[in-house]
Amino acid sequence: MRDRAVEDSATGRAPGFETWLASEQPRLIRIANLLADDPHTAADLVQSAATSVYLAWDRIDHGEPVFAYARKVLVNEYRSWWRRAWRRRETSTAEPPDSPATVPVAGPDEDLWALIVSLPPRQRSVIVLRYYEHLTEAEIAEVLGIARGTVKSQASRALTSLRVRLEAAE
Amino acid sequence: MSTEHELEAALRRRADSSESRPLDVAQVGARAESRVRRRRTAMVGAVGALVVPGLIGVALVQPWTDDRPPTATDSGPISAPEQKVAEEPSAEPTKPTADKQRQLLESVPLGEPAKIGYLDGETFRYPDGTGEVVPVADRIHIYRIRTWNRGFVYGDDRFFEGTNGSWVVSDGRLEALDNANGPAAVSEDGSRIGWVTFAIPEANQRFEPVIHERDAEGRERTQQFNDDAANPILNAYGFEGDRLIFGRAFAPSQTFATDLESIPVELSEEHAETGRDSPSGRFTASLSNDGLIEVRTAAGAEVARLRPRQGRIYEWEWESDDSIIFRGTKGSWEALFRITLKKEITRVTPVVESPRASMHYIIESPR
Repeated sequence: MRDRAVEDSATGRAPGFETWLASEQPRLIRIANLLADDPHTAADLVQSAATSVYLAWDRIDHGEPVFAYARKVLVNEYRSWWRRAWRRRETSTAEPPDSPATVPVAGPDEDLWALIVSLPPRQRSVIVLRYYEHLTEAEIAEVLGIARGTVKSQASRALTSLRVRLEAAE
Repeated sequence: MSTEHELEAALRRRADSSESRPLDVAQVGARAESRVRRRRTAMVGAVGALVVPGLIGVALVQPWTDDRPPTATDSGPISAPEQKVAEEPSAEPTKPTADKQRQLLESVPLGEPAKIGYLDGETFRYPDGTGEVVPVADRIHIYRIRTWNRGFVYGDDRFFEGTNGSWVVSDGRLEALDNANGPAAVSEDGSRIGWVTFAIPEANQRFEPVIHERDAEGRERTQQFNDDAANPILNAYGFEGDRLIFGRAFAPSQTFATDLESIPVELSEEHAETGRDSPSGRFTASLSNDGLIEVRTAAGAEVARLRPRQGRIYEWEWESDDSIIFRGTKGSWEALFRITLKKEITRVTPVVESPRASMHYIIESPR
């Protein structure tokens, strides 16, 4: 017997999912790109998050909580991916390695972005969730499954690190 | 980087410039099917298929405690970390609904009221059963609170450069402590409070940190603290006799003591707090990152390993030498519970729905 969620996919009986995906995918892609700094990995993270949402579609509340759930899966998948990638010391690519893996950004953002990319994954997740998604400390703690105090210390460490290194570069 | 806005703008521009090929639902469906096949392949036959859902069912109806790590069934889909929701080897829903989550908390028998103070929504409940409404400014969510002789000190969860807001309530009058991080320290007899103000770099401020102490009559003493550390964020940790203990957690990690007359002295690392002492000091307890409360004697011998199953535990305090009060949650529901060193659990408050991204119950932090 086929899994019910997969059967829904084949017959188009996942009511609302396609609309939700079309609506929220751009936002998920932007977050994934900020986390992964690699469009191929970002696409993979979004696909993984969307798959989890799809499989859980019948069991989760719809509306804003669906996006919150997808974002949570995405961020945690990024952290898992980073651990795997670090172990393998590799980056995913869909093309031969002569194409750039990152999207170039011109102007003064480049130095800052290079520093953001170099942050440890948890600090980077906190920074993206705080300064791009504008989540509260409590919401970030909930997404990452860590204590509020840890969110605070991670953010503070990240900002201190960014500031010190920016000043050193000037 | 002079302001938070610069970081926000950089992230926004970067995000807007990103490109990725959009998915369609067929790709998602194909991956879902692949994932389902993989997990079915991983199943260990019919016996496993019968036993695992049975065990999950037991876990859902028996919210007791043991030393095992929490499973994916401990929380609802929205609060589930990683992707465990989709990974359970059963086509039947394995997550409790909101009603079941509430019922799980309510199934814990009601015990005696807590013997320590806690915030219950807008009302602070004292151990003697009396209550007092805590003045709070609009859109402020308290995350930590202490009482003192004239009212309360508390921190709020506004978030700026890794710092939180700080407030004092004296005789019903509310006062914001600008440039301080989190709740002020309170002396053991409740007669004095202490805090540290410092320049927040994100606000482009430049001034040396100042240590503050205020007594129950409102008299305040201050002391400038010469500091050139990379991390300017200083916290008041508590009082030790006449001395206020303060410091920073990192960059560098330092702890100081001052009587606000002599130059503050740096304390050795041995002084740093590693656990929370029970009221008599006989035991000390610490919470690990995976939710295990380890209780040891002052000499370090293990006494108990407590892993409450009422959700992930962040907020907890000793109630007596034999019991700890903690805030348990399931989905959007929460209550305070008591766990004894013999691993007996009782509920000490009604189960209520948490305000969004905030807490209804907040246990008083020790002085």
